[in-house]
Amino acid sequence: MTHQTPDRLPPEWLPDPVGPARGGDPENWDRRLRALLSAAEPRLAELARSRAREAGPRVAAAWWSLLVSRWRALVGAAALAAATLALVVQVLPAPSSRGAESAAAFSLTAMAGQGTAVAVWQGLGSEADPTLAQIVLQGASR
Amino acid sequence: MAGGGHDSESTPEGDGLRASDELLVRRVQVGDREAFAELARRYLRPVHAVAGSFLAEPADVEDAAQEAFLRALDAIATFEADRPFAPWLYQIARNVARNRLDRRRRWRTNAAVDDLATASPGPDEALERREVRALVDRVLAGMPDRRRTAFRLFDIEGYSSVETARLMGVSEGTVRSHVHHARRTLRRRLEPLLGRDGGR
Repeated sequence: MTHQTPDRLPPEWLPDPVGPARGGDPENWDRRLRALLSAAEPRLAELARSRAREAGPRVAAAWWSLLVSRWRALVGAAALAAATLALVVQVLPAPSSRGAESAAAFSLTAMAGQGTAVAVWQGLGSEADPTLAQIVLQGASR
Repeated sequence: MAGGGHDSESTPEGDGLRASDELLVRRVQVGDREAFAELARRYLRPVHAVAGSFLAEPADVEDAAQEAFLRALDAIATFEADRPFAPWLYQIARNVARNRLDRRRRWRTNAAVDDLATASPGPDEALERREVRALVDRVLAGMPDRRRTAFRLFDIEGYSSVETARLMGVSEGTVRSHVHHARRTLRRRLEPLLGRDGGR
C-alpha cells in the first residue's frame, strides 16, 4: 500500500469478522463443514450417477466406432480387390482385339486363297488391317 | 501494504494450488466426495467472508455461504476446470449474498413501521458504539461491491492482499486501490465521530 493510504480503522469500529483467514473456533468450522458436506451429498450422488449414465453410451459408442472402423477397412479392402480385378480384366486381351487378330488371320488366308488384297478389303473393310488398306489404296491409285 | 503484513502460507489459492484446484474440480465433476470436502475446507472461510461483506446476521452469512457452495455444485458439471476456481466461487457467493440482502431489505422495509413503535434507546455507552458501527455498516453498504469485499477480506477478515486478489480474480494493485478508497471514505464519513472519540 502506498504511504498515502489511510491507516486501518480501529477494529472496534468495524464489523466482526465472520470468516477470519486464520484462527477462529475450529469446532465451529468443523460443524459448518459437516453441515455443508451433508447438504451437498444428494448433489454429489447425482453427479456420480450422471457420470455413470454418460459412461454407458460412451462405451457403446466406442464399440460401434470400432465396428464401423473395422467394416470400413473391410469395405476398403473389397473396393481395392474390385479395382484390381477390373484392372486385370482390362489388361487381358479384349474381345475386339481378338476379333482384329482373327480378321488379320482371315485376311492372310483370303490373300493366300484369292491372291488379291482388294478381295480381302472388300470383304472386311479397311479397318480389318491398316497395312492391307494401304495396299488397297496404292493398288487403286495405279 | 500498510497494516497488511499477513503471511501467505495458508493462501486460499496459491499458484501451486491452482493446478490442484483444477484436479479437485475435475474429481468433483464426477461426484468425488473427498475432492469436494477438500475444496470446501479450502474455501469455506473466504466464502463466509465474502457473504459477510453483504450480510450482517451471522446466521444469514452461514446460510449464504452454504448456498454458494451448493449452487457451485449445481453448476460444476459445466464449469471448465482449467479456469480459476476461486474467482468463480467468489462470484457465486457474491450473487447469493446480494440476493439475500435484497430479500432482507424488502423484509426490513415492511418491518420498519413496527420497529418504530417499539424502539427504545439503550445505555449511552452502548449507544455510541452502536451508532458508529451502524454508520460504518451504512458506509460499507453504500460502497461498490468489489470495494466493500476487498476491504472486508483485507481489513476485517485478515486476508493478505495476495490472497484477496486471488480470491476475487483481480490484481493486487486493484485490491490495494479498493482498500485505499474504502478506508478514505470511511475515515471521511467517520471523522466527526472519531474527533469526538479523541481523534482515533
